[in-house]
Amino acid sequence: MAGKRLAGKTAIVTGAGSGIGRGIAHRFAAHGATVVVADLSEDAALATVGEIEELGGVAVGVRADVSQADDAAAMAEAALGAGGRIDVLVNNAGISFGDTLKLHELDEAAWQRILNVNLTGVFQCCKHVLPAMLAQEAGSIVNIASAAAIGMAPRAGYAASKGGVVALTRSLAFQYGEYGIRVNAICPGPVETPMSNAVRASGMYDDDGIVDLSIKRRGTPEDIANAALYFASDESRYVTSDILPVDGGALRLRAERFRGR
Amino acid sequence: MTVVDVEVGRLEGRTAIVTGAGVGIGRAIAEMYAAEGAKVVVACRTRETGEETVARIVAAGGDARFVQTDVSDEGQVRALVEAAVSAYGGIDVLCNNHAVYGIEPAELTELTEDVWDLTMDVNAKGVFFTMKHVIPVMREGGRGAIVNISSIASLVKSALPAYAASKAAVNALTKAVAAQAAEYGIRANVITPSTIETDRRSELARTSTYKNDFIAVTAAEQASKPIVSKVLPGFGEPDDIAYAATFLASDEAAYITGAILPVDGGTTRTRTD
Repeated sequence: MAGKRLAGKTAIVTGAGSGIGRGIAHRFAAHGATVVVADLSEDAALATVGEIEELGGVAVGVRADVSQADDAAAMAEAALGAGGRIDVLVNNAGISFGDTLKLHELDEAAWQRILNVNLTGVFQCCKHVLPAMLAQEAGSIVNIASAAAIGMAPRAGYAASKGGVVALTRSLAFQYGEYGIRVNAICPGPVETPMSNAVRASGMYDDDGIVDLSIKRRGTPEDIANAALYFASDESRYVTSDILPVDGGALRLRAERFRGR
Repeated sequence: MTVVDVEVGRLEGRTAIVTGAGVGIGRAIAEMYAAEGAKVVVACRTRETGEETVARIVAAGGDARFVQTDVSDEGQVRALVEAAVSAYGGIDVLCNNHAVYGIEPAELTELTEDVWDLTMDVNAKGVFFTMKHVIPVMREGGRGAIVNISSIASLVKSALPAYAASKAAVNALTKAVAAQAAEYGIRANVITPSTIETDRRSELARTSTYKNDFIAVTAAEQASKPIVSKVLPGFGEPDDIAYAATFLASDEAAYITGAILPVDGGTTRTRTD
């Protein structure tokens, strides 16, 4: 491939130790970005960095709990140290464990934890990265939300947190558009990742899948990474506040599969 | 103007039909598809501009040919598809960019049936005809990507009722095809542009009496005294649509179908409608 669509850019990807985040980090590195691989697990972050370097890319690993202000600040500092600028922030870190199919059975601590990572984490990372983007008068923030934020979703805690990410995306697009900072969100449907496989293994869902799809397969991290690349690169310089479903053309949530659960 | 080196071959080996490709956004899409490795069939009503698009592509080292087509005429669409298959063997990408825009009066009460019919025939029926005749070819090839250029008008309280209705029809047609044709390996998506600087838009800005900030202002006017409510500064360029059309046409969008991708500087979201 001749062109490097992120040449000269520094990109932070949170939750990049596995799954979608790892896929995005790889894609960005292949396109010339210096990638800051942030993850709750330092080992996982460093493993992704090692893979990227083996393929000839440039990356640094950072341990970060995105819900913590100090970690978000340190992550931004690490990015500035690595590349001198922060061109792209991909807020991908997210959890769903502890969520339930019935709200009244949802433990308050689990609700709070899901919100802390999935929504407050996006707040913290944006808050600590935006000053650099303002100084540059340029930046692209890509939030990995979820199809759960668009249609009805079986798990309320997760849906609420991702709905918050979508609204935050629109508001940030409004707040920062005049400074040349773009903010968009991707709403993945079912994607083959360790996190989603764990949910399926827990028995919460049938093997049949919970959503009828036009494209009859689960998504891959590469499917999401390609959309993230479009939003991260200058090709989408006139695009902001978009909420893009990458969901195999989802048709309907199968309500009958949840009755009696 | 292109901001990113696009020669990565994302459409290498693909054949693409682009309608309305004689000028503006359509020309930009045709040129970018060719730059990304596609063989391009340029379809539009005006021979002079269509052949100029082809000449530009060929001069840049690409492969293209022109087929004069009025997409509202099913016979001409059938002939277009036959010509594309005859020239290149198959069709992998269809980009419906053609449209009539700004031809209706400022008030619905003065809209004639003729202008309504023309708007629907070109903007909506034309998309139906091209998809109808291209899909069987795509089925045979086992894959296909349809990218339909709609408009912000399809999503908000537009000043152009007939245009808006025709573009809303395009959105619904595209989603239905996305569901229906997925089993044949065909994807279909929509781009909704707003405030993209083209000659047509500049022309309308000079002459129109529309009660709508989108249409009645040029980029220069917007720069000096902001009228359009949008968040990114400046207006868009045809290449901004071309980049989106390239992404959606390529395998990078393999898991995206039935989606709407606004390329509009944030204009849609400042609307509360």
